[in-house]
Amino acid sequence: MSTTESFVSPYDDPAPAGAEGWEELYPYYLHFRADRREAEEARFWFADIQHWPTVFKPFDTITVEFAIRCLGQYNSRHYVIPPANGIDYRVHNGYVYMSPVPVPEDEIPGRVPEFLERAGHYFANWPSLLEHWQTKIRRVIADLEAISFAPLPDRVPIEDITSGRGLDPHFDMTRNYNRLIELCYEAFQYHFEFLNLGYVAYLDFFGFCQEAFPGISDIGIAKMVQGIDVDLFRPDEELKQLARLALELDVAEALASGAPGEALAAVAGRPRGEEWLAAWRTAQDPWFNFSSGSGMYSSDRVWLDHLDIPLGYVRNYVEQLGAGADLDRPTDELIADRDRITGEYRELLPDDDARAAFDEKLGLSRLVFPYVENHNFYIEHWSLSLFWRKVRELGGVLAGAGFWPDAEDIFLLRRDEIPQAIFDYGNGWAVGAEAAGPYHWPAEVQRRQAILDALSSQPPRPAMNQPPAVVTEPFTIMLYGITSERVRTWLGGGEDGGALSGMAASPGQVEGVARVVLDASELGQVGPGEILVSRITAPSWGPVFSQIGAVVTDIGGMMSHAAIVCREYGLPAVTGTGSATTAIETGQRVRVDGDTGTVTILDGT
Amino acid sequence: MDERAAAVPAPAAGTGCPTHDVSRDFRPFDTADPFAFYARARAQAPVFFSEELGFWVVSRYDDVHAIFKDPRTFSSENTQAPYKARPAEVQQVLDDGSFRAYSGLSARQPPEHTRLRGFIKKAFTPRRVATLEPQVRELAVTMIERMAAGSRADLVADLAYDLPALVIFRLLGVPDEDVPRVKEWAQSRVHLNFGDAPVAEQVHHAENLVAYWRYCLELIQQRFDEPRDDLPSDLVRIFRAGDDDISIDEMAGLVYGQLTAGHETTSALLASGLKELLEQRERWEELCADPSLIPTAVEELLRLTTPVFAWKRKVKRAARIGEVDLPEGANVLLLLGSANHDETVFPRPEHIDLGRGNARSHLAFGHGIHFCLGAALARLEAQIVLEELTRRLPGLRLAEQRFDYSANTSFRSPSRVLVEWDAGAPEHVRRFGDCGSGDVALVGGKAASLGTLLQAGLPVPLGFAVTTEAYAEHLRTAGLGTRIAEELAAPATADADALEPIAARVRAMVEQPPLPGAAAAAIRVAYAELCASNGGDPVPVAVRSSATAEDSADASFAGQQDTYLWVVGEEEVLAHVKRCWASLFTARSIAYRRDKDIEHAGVLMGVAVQRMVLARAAGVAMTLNPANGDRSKIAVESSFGLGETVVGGEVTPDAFLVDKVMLDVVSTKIGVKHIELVPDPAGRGVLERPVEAGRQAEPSLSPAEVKAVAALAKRAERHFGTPQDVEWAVDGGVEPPEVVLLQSRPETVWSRKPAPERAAARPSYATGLGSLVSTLINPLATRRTTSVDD
Repeated sequence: MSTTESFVSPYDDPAPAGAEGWEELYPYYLHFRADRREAEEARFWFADIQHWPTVFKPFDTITVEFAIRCLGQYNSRHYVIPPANGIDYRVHNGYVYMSPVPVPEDEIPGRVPEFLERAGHYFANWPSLLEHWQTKIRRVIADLEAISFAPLPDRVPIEDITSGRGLDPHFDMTRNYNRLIELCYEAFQYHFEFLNLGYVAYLDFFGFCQEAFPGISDIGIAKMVQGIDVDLFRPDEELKQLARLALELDVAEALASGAPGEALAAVAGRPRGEEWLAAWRTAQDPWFNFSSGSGMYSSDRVWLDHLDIPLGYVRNYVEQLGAGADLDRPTDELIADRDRITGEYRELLPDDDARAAFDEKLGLSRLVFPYVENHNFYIEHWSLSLFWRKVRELGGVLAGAGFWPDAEDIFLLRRDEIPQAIFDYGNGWAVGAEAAGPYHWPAEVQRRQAILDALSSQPPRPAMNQPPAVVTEPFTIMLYGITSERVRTWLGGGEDGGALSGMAASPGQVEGVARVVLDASELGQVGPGEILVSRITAPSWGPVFSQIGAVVTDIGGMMSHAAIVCREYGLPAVTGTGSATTAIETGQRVRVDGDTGTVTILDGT
Repeated sequence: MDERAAAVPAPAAGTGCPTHDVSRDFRPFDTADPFAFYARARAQAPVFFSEELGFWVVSRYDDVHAIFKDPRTFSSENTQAPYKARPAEVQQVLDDGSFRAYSGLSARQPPEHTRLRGFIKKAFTPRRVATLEPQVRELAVTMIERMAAGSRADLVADLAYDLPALVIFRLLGVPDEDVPRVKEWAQSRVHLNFGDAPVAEQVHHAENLVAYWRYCLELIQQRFDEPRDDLPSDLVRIFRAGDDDISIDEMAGLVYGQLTAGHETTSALLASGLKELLEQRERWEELCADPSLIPTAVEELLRLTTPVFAWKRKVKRAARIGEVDLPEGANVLLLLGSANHDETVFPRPEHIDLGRGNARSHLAFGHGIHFCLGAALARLEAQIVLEELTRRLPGLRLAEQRFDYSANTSFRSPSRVLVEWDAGAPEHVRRFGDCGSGDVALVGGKAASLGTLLQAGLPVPLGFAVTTEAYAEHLRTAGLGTRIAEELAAPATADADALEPIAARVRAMVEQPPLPGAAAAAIRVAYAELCASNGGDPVPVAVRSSATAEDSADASFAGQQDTYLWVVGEEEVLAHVKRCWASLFTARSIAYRRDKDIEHAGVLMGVAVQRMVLARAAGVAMTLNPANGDRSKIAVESSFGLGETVVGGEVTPDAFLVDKVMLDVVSTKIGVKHIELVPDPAGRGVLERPVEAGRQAEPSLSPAEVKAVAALAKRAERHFGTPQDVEWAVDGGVEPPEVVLLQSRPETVWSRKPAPERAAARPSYATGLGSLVSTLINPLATRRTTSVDD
């Protein structure tokens, strides 16, 4: 790569018109600050649209802040990963950019013994520690469930008087808000307790395979490791089961139309309707704690809060079953395929030493990998669904007090501004005078929304500043699919004669009509056989995978959600194209080649 | 109409004269071996009166010919009349049964004959006969294959009796299940009109004739109700068209006549003819070796056996034949069997002479206005039976037996022709599907390998091996063993150049003589099968030597590995098989064997004949990376057209490296393919032509095709359990194009190296946490930049 080739500097990349003053919407430590321009420009930054594809509302940066700092914490402070510290991050023009922080070469050897001791303990005690993890995360979830917010009553309840409690409901509200933030923080701490080590083990096996079988595809390696029975697929499986049951109990017709409330009432009127409703309710806990986005945004819609989403999927499945479709995941085939691939590679190794090493590394990868796939459900979906719901509950209380028009508007406040609003609300209540909020916030949230709209009009830059000669940072490659080749593609504009290239994430070739989906709410428009083109995909998009022809994403690697699910469904997928959602328009015919990682626009470019 | 021949005055009987002796010795109903008597008759009394029959008997060719030519003088009206007055009981049966059939055509006279013959000729067209060819062949093949399962047969019961009947009955719309009874009725007709059976038997035959007649009437009636695609229906259609003056009875009569004429005669021809042919064994061998002689053979067999052995005529006006005056009203019996053996016309008449110039002049089908209507069909049937029989059972021979002939004057046929053959005879040809790894000595390494691949279910174009036994037999029958030894004995030079003229002579010795009949026949059958499996047209094949010592160090010297591409047609295949054999005698090979003291004629060679696909692209694949021995890869090299350009290094092929497990393409290098080898548009052979500039650097395979080629190579490796070097082609002649395997050999370079040297890049095998650390510290991506080709 030529050294003159470089991405734009954030300092030369002004916000779109109408977004002036956007900086105040985010904490000061997330800015590319003018006073450290030189240092910031010396680093390579790439956009993490795999996890945060859209512009942040001010409150929503909580997820990137907690997640990325916790990731760093485990690298740098818990396990002392020899070559890698954390990943530094900034918000620029509403999007987040990442820059891994390496360990100075001379410090690496000194970190090795510590790593061996600390990580060694986890690898040696993986199952029991993971069991402990389950206890911890379930406690967090239970604590989140227990939190609630209600408008302040006219009087302190008499019981608090007679019991001599000596605290008022506003004190509880303040504490609950702090507790909510704390629980979110705790969930993200646990998130990375196993994840980084899981990736390290996987990388070790990955490296071994690359050496033993030069040129082996990432898919080949992933297929050997990948789990079959994964919690992440459970919500989708539950919906399929509900669809089957609807036909069996003869409630499909009742279920077929109307808003969820009407449809469910119609089902209740059927002879065996109650049986189905019982199953519907059982499935909700916990499997409807499922976000239709990455879970990282307050705006991500959760099935439990939007029953029309799962109901729509169930209806779709009922139709497919009616048309004779087989909705069962071919688990036996997947297992047979995994065993065949593993067996064949193993057989190709030259001697028993090599096979012993292969067995050990594969064994470790398979031990750690279920976590890599499953944590997503417990943290991003279950915990964060609860978290967003509770914050929204608080937003509703304050909206009721006239602070802003809508419960959702609370997310237009920064995390540090909410305690102020809570205090303002309780202050007026206690003093018996008007709070200032209703004067201050309505105009402010409107102004902020306009800024966000302006920021959203412009997609993120794929990267900033000058890239390294070779991308070597293991997590960058593994988590984000960002390689030297990918960076080069971005620099070249990402297109070449109607062709985009990305990661060959799931094999096969297919041609079809593109459907660009920028938000989960547009999923309903996806038709059978269409090519889903999106920034990323989320696990809760599962049902749509049973009818599309292929998937193309802007960002994501071999282990991204889209890649995993496509391999499951046997759909071709090209991930990490950088610009598919802008280069491709809905309705264009495209050819997706999951073997070579290319996407060709066949008409009207 | 009355079937009885009118009584005529007999000439005064004399004694002591040759004519009298001849007349006395005539046994009209015994046709087992009358030829010596006939010769005597032709010499001593060419026209004589038979007291027994009350007929004048004519035996010379010229006399018979003259009578046929003069239907006004010599009428056929008595043809179907019994020799002797029909007993009253018999006539009663016929009358009670309203038996009105007299004759289809044979006993009809002009103008009636002309009218009816013209009518049926409209239906019995060459087109109809031609459409029967596939049916006849199918019947013949089925019957012969059924026989071939054993090692003995009765050619009458197993072939000759049923085959013509099934054919004519199908033509006449008689269902197969009616064949036995119609066949029996037809024989009753022969016995009643041409035999001399006791009265009780005649009554039985008469009852059959009644049934037969009714059957024919019904058949016509049915076709009026419900026309089909058969000859009676055609008659009905012509009748309805209105031009022809014909009655229902006449139409039924035509059916009645054809039902007999169409099969008894041909059955007789086949039975007697095959008997003759097998008695004159060399002629049989000649036909096996060269089927183009079969049409002549059919004429000779017609002449020799003369299925309609004697025929009747009535003198309508006094005439002189030979030196005998025949009175008006006299009955005449024409000895066709004698006329066809008349040595003045057919020298050495008892011999089947495949070079006989006037072979077609025989009188087996009669002559003149009554010339056999079914001659073309009879010839077709005999032709096909001979083709299939010489092909499929060239080792056929007559068993020990006595031949019996039924007692009648005119339909001469042995009742049984018992034959046998050696089931374990030399195997000249073996289908690939039957070749296994244990057959290298018989079929050579190449064919054995192809057979193994085919048995493993791999998509290998079909073909067959010409065995080493066929080669050995070729040397033996052509007496080549000693001649080659003599030729090569003389100069003791090992100098290849000096040997060249001798080598060329020896090669000519191998190529010139015809193949042994049975071997040639077997090759023809196998090639015909290939053609049949490919839609019937002559299929292009590759003819390659298949050495018995393949892959040994001596292989390249034992015989040049000759390959002939796009060989089309039976004769070409036969010629190229011999050319492959001849390639054992290149100067270099001769010198080598001489040096090693190997007996020249002791080195055997098989030949593989394999259907060629119209290759859109072709090439080789190796189930490891030849650059470094990495067994997790499959290296594919490909170019346009036939794969020989890749094998021979005449182009820079496209090179693909494929992951063996996932079958994804790991690296691609597109070559510049400046030439391609394609079938010669002239129809046979191949030619090299330049690839258009715009196409040279186009990939010759799509990614999916690369994957398909690799998958095929992988299957071959899996089957043999060791890395393979395969040749493949994309068959552009089918839609969608299909990858086929043409050859698979063990890879020898890397496979022989010890394991450690083989490992492409030996991994550290570090295990445990230490390995995790090194994984983190040695950045993956820097390792991944190393090329897979290194």
